[in-house]
Amino acid sequence: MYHLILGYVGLVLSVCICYQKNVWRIAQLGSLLMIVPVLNLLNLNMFISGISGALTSDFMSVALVILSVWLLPLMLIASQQHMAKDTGLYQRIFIICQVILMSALVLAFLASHLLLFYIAFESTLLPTLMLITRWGAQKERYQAGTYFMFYTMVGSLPLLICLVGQYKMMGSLSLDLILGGMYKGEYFTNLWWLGCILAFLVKLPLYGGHLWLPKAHVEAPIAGSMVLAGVLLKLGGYGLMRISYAWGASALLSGEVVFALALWGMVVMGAICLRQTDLKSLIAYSSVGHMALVVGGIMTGTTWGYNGAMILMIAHGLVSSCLFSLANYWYERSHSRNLLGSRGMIILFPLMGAGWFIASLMNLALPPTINLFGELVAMVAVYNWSMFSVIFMGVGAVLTAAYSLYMFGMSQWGEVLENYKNLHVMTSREYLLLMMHLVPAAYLIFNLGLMF
Amino acid sequence: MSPYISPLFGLAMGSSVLLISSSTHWVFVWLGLELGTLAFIPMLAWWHSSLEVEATVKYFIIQAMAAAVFFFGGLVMTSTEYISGLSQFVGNFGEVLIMFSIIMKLGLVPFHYWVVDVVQGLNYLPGMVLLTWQKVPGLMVLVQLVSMQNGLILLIFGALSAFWGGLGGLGQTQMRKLLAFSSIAHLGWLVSGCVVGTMLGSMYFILYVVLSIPVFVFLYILNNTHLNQVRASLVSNPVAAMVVGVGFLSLAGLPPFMGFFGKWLVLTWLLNNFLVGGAVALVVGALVSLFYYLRVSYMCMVILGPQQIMVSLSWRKGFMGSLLGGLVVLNLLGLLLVGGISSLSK
Repeated sequence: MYHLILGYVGLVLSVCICYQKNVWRIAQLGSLLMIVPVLNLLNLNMFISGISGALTSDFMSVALVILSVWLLPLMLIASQQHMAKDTGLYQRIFIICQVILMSALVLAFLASHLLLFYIAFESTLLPTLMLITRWGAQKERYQAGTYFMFYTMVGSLPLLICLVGQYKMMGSLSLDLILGGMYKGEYFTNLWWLGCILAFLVKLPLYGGHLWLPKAHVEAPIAGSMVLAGVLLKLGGYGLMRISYAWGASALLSGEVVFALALWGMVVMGAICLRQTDLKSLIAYSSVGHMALVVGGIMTGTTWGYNGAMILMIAHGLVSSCLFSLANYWYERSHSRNLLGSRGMIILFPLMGAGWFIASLMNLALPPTINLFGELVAMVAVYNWSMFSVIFMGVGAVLTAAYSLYMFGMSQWGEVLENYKNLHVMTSREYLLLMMHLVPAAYLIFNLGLMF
Repeated sequence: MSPYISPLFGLAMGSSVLLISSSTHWVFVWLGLELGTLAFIPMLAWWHSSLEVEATVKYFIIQAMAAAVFFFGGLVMTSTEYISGLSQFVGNFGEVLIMFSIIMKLGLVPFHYWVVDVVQGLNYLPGMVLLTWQKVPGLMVLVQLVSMQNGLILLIFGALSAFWGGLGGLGQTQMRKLLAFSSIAHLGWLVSGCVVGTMLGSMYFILYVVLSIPVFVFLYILNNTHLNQVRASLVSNPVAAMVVGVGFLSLAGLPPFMGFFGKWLVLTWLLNNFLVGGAVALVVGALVSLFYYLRVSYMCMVILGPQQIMVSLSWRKGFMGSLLGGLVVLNLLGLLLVGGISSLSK
């Protein structure tokens, strides 16, 4: 699987040397071509589709690797317009930044050594920070970048200590060896285990460690938002899954603290979403709410929980990225993210209104969509853990439906404001981007088995 | 100072290290330390500005005081235990005195105040020599002094130093002071590394030298002493600004860069010796200092002011290619080490 990393290295080089007028085309086509080798990983044989050197692709990582490779051309397509006014050098640096970010993500998903995973996990920080603070819109982006860095670093440095300590005690951090199971509760005390998962809980983010996410989303350019919601949050879910699969989560007392925060976060985030006036901020808070169920599913430590969490992560990766790009179409035309001013968009852009409609319904988990399957499976697993959790999950699901409809209604219905009379028309690039989000999400309904 | 005589001082600085490394008697170690200090003093005041002279005097007073304490400690040792080799001293008052004098010479935390003041007065290049080469003699003595009793003191001072180096730099806007605080913080990591493994300390030191030399040199090229000046450097010399920005992130110990690997090694050895508390304290210090490293690299690489021109000027290009090599070789080397992990035994 080193050919994936090498492919991205080649992409960086070709972006460096190509003519200026071709730079976007080459980046988009090249990153799209990467989907061909990565689809090869779907060929699972006894839960593992490939081992080479320090990389292993197994049933946990394949779907997420494909999702992240798929999102790179989408990010590049989405940010073409907003980078058009930058100089050539900065455009190239911007593209290279994203390609490096994506190769670090692929490395993180495929790493079979936990320290390599840690290094790749941390290597995603710097390109993301550059995306947020260099290409963001307002001056609050520095604060957002600092929040992002510090939340993640405070979470992940305990992970480094715990991993190194575990290397001392176990003699190995190789995933294929520690999959055999840890000694539950012997020397891995609750505190130790909490140190191991804290990084992922902040990254997901769990309620309580989530404050960096809305800030980062609001300030980030469209590519940053898409990669944050689409893949970076899934990195947290993936790590949590790996660690809890090896350690055995539900046996530990600290697991219940995490459960409580996740269930409470589900409700609170739904309520907060209903009061948002900022379109991007609303979508960001809704991600926190969705990820809470992912945490719940994983923390049950059951097959149903893992499967539900995995389906939810893939579904959310496609849908929230789609919502962010839809929000960005409006932002590029009106230069505002304010929900109060964005009324009657369906009159201005009818076909885009259809896109908003489908994406909102997917976000609220309407029956045939994969979001519903993910939520159902994860909810069954959490319900099996405790009957009373259904109160929180029920209220959370109702609030999810409520804010999705609120978002759709506020933005699409009503009278168009006077000053939005001469906006640019939608381009075929933007329709293409919409389709590339929604078609895989729709296709996966018929092939749920591809995700776990 | 006449440039013709400067090789003599350089020679004396080099031979001081040789003297320390090859002698077993503490008197010769003391002699080597004094020689190194005195040979360095004329270089500190190279440009004769009043700030430099003031810094030189401060440096001289501190070093002379530390040397006096060293000499006194040696006398106490010899008169009570009748031994003269540094590594033979175990649990004597004289040994503690010698250790404190070395801590003072290095600028570890209880005696760190002089470092910031002295570096602030100096030009970048003497400052670089002060924070890198001039630590070699002290560290060579320190690794001989590490024992069970001293180890705990050194670990506590190291952790405090990592923390204080972070805390002190939080409000700073002077680049040289930031570098001094960064050096104090790294010294904390280094001393902790020395306690758990001699070679580890020297490796961390080499890593620190390799990381900080490009930062010093490119700040010297940019001629920036204040954080606000750094902000404009992305326009005047983009590559140098990028090197400084990446160098600061590397000093912060962010994973893809080389600085992380030193921290990883120190943490591994600390945990191998079950020193979890020390590891946690060092990591907390690294987090605090991350704030100012991040701020400098914002200024270097990220912030563009409203008046800044975003065209690439043709005269810059030749300069860029040559310097980009330096950046890649010095800092991104850490990326290659990632490949080394794949060869770890499973």
